[in-house]
Amino acid sequence: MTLIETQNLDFSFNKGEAVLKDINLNVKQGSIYGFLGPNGSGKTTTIRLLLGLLPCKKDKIKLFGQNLQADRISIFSKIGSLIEQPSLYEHLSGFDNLEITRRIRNASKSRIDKVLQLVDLKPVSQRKVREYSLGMKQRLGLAIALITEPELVILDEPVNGLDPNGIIEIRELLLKLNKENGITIFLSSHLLSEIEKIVTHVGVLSKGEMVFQGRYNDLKELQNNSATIHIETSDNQKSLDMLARKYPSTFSENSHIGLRYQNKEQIATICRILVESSIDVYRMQVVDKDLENIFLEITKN
Amino acid sequence: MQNIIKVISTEFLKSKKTFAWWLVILGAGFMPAFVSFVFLSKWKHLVPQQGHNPWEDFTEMSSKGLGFLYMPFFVVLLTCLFLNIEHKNNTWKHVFTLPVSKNYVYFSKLTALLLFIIMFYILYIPIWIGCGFMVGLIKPELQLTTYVPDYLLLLSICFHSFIASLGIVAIHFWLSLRFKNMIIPIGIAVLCGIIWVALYQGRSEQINYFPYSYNYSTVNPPNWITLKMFGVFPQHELFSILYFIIFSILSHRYFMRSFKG
Repeated sequence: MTLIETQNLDFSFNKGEAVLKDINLNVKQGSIYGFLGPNGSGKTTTIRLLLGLLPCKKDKIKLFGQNLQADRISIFSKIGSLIEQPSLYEHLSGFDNLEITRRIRNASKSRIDKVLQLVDLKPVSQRKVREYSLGMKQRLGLAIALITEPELVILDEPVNGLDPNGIIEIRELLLKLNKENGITIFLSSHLLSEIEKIVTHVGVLSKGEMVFQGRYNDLKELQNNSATIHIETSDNQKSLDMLARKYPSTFSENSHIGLRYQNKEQIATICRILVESSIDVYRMQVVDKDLENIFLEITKN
Repeated sequence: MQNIIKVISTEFLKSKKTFAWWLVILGAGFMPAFVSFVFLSKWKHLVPQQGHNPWEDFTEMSSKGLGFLYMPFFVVLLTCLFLNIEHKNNTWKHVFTLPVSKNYVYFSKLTALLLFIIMFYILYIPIWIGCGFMVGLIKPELQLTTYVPDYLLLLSICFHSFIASLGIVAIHFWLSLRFKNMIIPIGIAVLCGIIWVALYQGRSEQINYFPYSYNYSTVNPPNWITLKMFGVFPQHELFSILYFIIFSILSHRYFMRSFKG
């Protein structure tokens, strides 16, 4: 089942200046969907649209198969959300903050203890939120989002500003929620490295346009396809001529030549060709692009 | 119905540990305490003549004090503080993603604010009576313990003061939604306070259309205007209700259509 679906979603704050162009999100139940993009690419605007905080045309957004505008209350009863910095009443305790949402969402009183334990804030639940660290506030925001055991959690930059320990904690918590409670998670981030360990699906946004959407493994496939072999020989020009006949993607670069990596047998073949032509091979190296670079390339293009 | 009661209850929880509560408590106690201080320090001039109920003077001084700018500014400040809770904490976006209609959010905020003002009167009445009897005990010459206050008159003053405040409540509710910075609505209230004093000094007939004057007009009707009564309500209190309705509709429309927090 598709939990989030947008159809050719456009948005602009001012006429003629499109912030989002033709966004077609597709988030399946049970997935952890990483919504990636550099700062200013339109992630928060998309999330605000998904949560009805910005106006949009009818039938453009469907959550749980229902139209956002028509079934807002029914949809929101199944969603927990955290937008940018968590919205917290800083003069109140963590417990009171949870109590406010609990009452409105009609959750049982015992849920407060459960979510406090889940985010490890029980010992400080009576302290005023203004005394909390950023990480604690993020965790409390997450606890508020989880107070009714939602089917879908929408999180905007949940690890933003957290130290490495905080990032790991939130990541483990999200994984646990997805695996043990079957909660679908939609989370945005501007850093792939922050969420690549947990996402099952990825959507990449750049300048308001969706430049990639698919399974995380598809993104990894892109990584494999972009690996190259760097070869340094006693005669690079001759090697280039010979290899280009068999591998048209061969190119020359600085002190080496390069070609697209296909498999390990290919390395043996190249070696044989060069040695049989009396060319000495000094270096042969498979160079992977890391996912971060692929992400940067996608968003640059 | 149960839902709206729950939402209203959260408004009270949100206001916990804010200055709004202190404003209600201290505000209810300030005027009786101030009048008691005046009675104790000027008691020689206030000793009643034979057969005169001293509570009448105590009532008059308190209610005029309440009506003269005190009540309008209390209402303005309370309204600003009340709505500022969401502005200051940047929590509107959270409120709007909860499974509750915007209508509920609007009416629960307005209802909770009105309940806060009613709470002010609920506190004011016993504090006022207590202060009066305490002054009577300290200065028996004032005979405040010999006589009893006119409780019905006291309730009537509070009721009419509440009605006279409704116009300003709605105006400032609207202003506080429009402007996140609470200095702007407070600045407007100060300006309107000055205009009211000018209208009063100038014995202007337009004072009847100026909502910031209604509290004082209720306890001390301007003698240059013929007081028109409509049932139990003087004309300016009906205007106050009218202002309340008009500005509530305005703020509701704004809240539902344009307000994004």
